[in-house]
Amino acid sequence: MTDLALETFRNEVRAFLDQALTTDLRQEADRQTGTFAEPALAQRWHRILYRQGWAAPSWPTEFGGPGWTAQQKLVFERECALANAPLLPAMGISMCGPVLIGHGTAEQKARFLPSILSGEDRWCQGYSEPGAGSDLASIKTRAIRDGDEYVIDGTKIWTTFAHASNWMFLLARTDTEARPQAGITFLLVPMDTPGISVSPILSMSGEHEVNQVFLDNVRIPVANRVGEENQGWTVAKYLLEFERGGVAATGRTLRVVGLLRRMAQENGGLPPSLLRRYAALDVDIRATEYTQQRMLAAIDSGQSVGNANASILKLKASQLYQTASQLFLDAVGEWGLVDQAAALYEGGQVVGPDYCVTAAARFMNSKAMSIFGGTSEVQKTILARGALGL
Amino acid sequence: MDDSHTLVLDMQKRFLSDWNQRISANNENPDNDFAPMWGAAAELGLTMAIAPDKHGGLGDDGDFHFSYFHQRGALLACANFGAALAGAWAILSATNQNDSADTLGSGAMRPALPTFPEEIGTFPKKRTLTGQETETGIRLWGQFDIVRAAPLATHIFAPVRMEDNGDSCIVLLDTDDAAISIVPFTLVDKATAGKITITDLMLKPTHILARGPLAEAIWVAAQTAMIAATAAEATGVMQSLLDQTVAYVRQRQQFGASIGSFQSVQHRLAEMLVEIELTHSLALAASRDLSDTLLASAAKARANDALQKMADCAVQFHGGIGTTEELALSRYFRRAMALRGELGTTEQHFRLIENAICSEVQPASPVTRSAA
Ligand SMILES: Cc1cc2nc3c(=O)[nH]c(=O)nc-3n(C[C@H](O)[C@H](O)[C@H](O)COP(=O)(O)OP(=O)(O)OC[C@H]3O[C@@H](n4cnc5c(N)ncnc54)[C@H](O)[C@@H]3O)c2cc1C
Repeated sequence: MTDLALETFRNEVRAFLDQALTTDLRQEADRQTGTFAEPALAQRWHRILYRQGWAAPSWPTEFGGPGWTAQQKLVFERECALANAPLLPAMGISMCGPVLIGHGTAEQKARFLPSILSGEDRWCQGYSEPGAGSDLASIKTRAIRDGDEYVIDGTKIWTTFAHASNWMFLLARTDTEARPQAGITFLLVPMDTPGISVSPILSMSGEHEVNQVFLDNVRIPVANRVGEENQGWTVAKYLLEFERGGVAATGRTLRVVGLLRRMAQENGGLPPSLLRRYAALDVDIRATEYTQQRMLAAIDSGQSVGNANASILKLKASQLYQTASQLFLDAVGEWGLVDQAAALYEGGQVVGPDYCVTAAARFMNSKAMSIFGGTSEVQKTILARGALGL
Repeated sequence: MDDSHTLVLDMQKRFLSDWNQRISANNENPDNDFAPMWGAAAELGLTMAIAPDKHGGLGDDGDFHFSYFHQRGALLACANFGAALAGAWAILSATNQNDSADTLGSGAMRPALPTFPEEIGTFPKKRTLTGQETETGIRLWGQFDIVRAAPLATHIFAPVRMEDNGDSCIVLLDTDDAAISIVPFTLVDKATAGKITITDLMLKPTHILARGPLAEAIWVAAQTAMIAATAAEATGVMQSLLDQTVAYVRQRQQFGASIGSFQSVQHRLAEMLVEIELTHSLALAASRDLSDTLLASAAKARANDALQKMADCAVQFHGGIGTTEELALSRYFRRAMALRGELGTTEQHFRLIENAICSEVQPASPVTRSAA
C-alpha cells in the first residue's frame, strides 16, 4: 500500500471516529481504568464498529473482516487509541475468532463467528487455574468423554469478564497419562450450562474484572471441541500468540498518553523532569511501533506474528503501559494520592480536577499487564529459548 | 539505643500487631476507630515516646526515631498513624509550648499538619493561610486541599502568611472551631484525609506559635523530621514487602518447583535486598541528624524509588493474586503509593539536591550555559 493510500485510509478512520465516538462515549471511555472497557461500554462500541464493518480488523473478508493490510490494522488501532475509543475485550474477536478460523470445523465457523463478529456472544478465556498459571500445561480441570458429551470438572481462575460472558473457551485435561502438554483439549462451553458458578475477585483498585469459575459436572456436546482430542495445546499456543502479539502493542499506552497530553494542555504544560520522561517514553513507543510494523510486514494478514515476536511485543506493551501509567500518576501530582473509588464506581464527586480521576486506579491496574497473558518472566524465557536458543 | 528504647519498640510491635489482627479479622478501616486507637497508643506511652528528651520522651535518639517509624511501616496497622506526630513534636518543642506538649504526650491531641509536595524544604510561599492583624489577635482564612487525617484530628498546625507585612507564622488551630470546615475523603492507602476551609477564624495571640524567620526555620525543621520519619516508614514497608514476597515464592509451586528456586526470581529479590539495605542506611543517617535537610531529601528520594521497585516486584512475583485485594500485600502496595507522593516526590527532592550542587560548583557570577 502506498503512503498516500495509507494516509487516505487514516483520514477515513479519523472521520469515522470523529463522528462515531459521541461525547458520552468519550467521557465514559475516559473513566475506564481496567484491562478492557467495562462490558456495557464495550458492547455499545462493538455494535458501532460492527455496523461500520470494522469490528474484526484481523479476520479474513470471508468471515466479515475488512480486508485490511497489516499496516492498515495498525493505523486503525493507533487512531482508535489516540481518540481514546473504548478498548474492546480481546477474548471474542482477537482470541476465539482467530482460533476458530484457524482450527475450527466449517460448522463451528458458521455457528460461532457471526455472533462473535456482531458482539452478540461475549466470550471469556478459561485457561488459568489456581495451581496452573505460568505452568499452564499443568491444568487439572478434567473433561471425561461420555458418549456424545464431555463432562467437565474443575476450577478456572482470573477469568476476565466471566460474569459478563455467555461463552467460555477452556482448556481441560482429557488424558492424565500422557505428557502434560499432550493430554489437553480445547472446548467451547456455554456459561449457562448447569454446574457452572462464577464468583467475583476484586482487583487491588476495586474493579470487578476477574473471577473464579467453578465447573461441577458440566456437560457439553463433543461438537464443541476445537481441534482433535488431546491436541488442545497446539490450539492454546496459537491463541496465545494472538493474545500477546496480535493487537497494537501501544494501544493501551497511547490512551494514557492521550490523557497526559490533555491534562498538560489544561494545566499549562509539564515540568522539565516529567517532560524528559515523556520524551523517553515517546521514543520507546515509536521504536515499538516500528518494530511491530517490521514484524507484520513479514507475514500475511490473519496470521499470528510468531512465538518469539509475540513475546517481544507483549513484553514491550507491558513496560510501556506501566511506564505511561506511572508518568501520568506522577504528573497528576498530589491528586494522585486520592482514592477516587467513590467517583469511579459509585457516582460520587471527583476529589480534585476531573483529569485526575483515573490516575491511581489505572496505575494499580497497569501492574497486571506484566502478569496476564503470560508473565514477563515467562516471555523472557520464551525469548531466551526460542530466539536465542539457550 | 538502650533498654528503655527496646522496651517501647517491643510494646509498639505488640500494639500494632494486635490492631492489625483486629483490622484483618473484621476487614475494617483502622480510621473507623482512630480516636480509641490513638488513645490506647498514648496510654502505652507511644505518643510520648517519640517526644524530644526535654519533654520526657526518647525521640532525640536517632536510631530510636528510625526504628519507631520503620516499625510503623513494617506493621502498617494504620496509615494515619504516622509522620505528623514527628512534625508536631518538632514544632511544640522548638516553640517551648509545654502545655500543648503535655496534651500531645497524653494522647488528647491528635495532630494534623498540612504538607505541600511542591513546596518542600521551605516555608510555603503559596499555600498558606492568610492572616490579618486585629486588636484581639489575628483573623485567618484560606484552605488546604489535601491534609492527611484532618477529619480525625483535634488540632491542626498550619503555616500562615500575614497580609500586611508578609510575615510567616505557625499557628495551632483547634478543629472544634466553628470557622473550620473539613470535607473528608479517602487517600489511596484508604486513610482518611480532608480538605480544610477556614473562613474568618479569630485566633488568640497565644495560638501563634512562632513568627518571622524563626517560624520559617521551625517549619523546615518540622518538615525535615517528617521527611526522615517517612523515609524510615518507607524502609519498613519495603522490608515487609520483601518478607511477604520471599515467603510467597518459597511456597508457590510452578513447573514442579517453588518459584523461589528460579534464578531470575532469586536475582531480582537479591537486588531488592540491596535496595533496602541502602535505603535503610540513608534513612537511618537522616534520623540521626535531623538538622541535615539534604540528607533527609536524599533519603526520601531514594526511598521513593526503591519503594516503587519493591512494590512492583512484590506484585509481579505474586502473579494474579498480587493484583487483587485478597492479600495484605495490596494494603502495602497502596501505602507505598501514598508514601511515594507525600512529603516530596523524587523529582522535588532531587531539585533540592541539584540546587545544593549548583551552588557548590557554579561560579559566583551567573554565566549562561550555552546550548551545546
Ligand atoms: C488482570 C488479569 C486478568 C487475567 N485474565 C485471564 C483470563 O481471562 N483467562 C485466563 O485464563 N487467565 C487470566 N489471567 C491469568 C494470568 O494468565 C496468570 O495470572 C498468569 O499466567 C500468571 O499465573 P499465576 O497468577 O498463577 O502466577 P505464577 O505462575 O504463580 O507466577 C508467580 C510469579 O512467578 C514467576 N514465575 C513463574 N514461573 C517462573 C519461571 N519458570 N521462571 C521465572 N519466573 C517464574 C512469574 O513470572 C510470576 O512473577 C489474568 C490475570 C490477571 C492478573
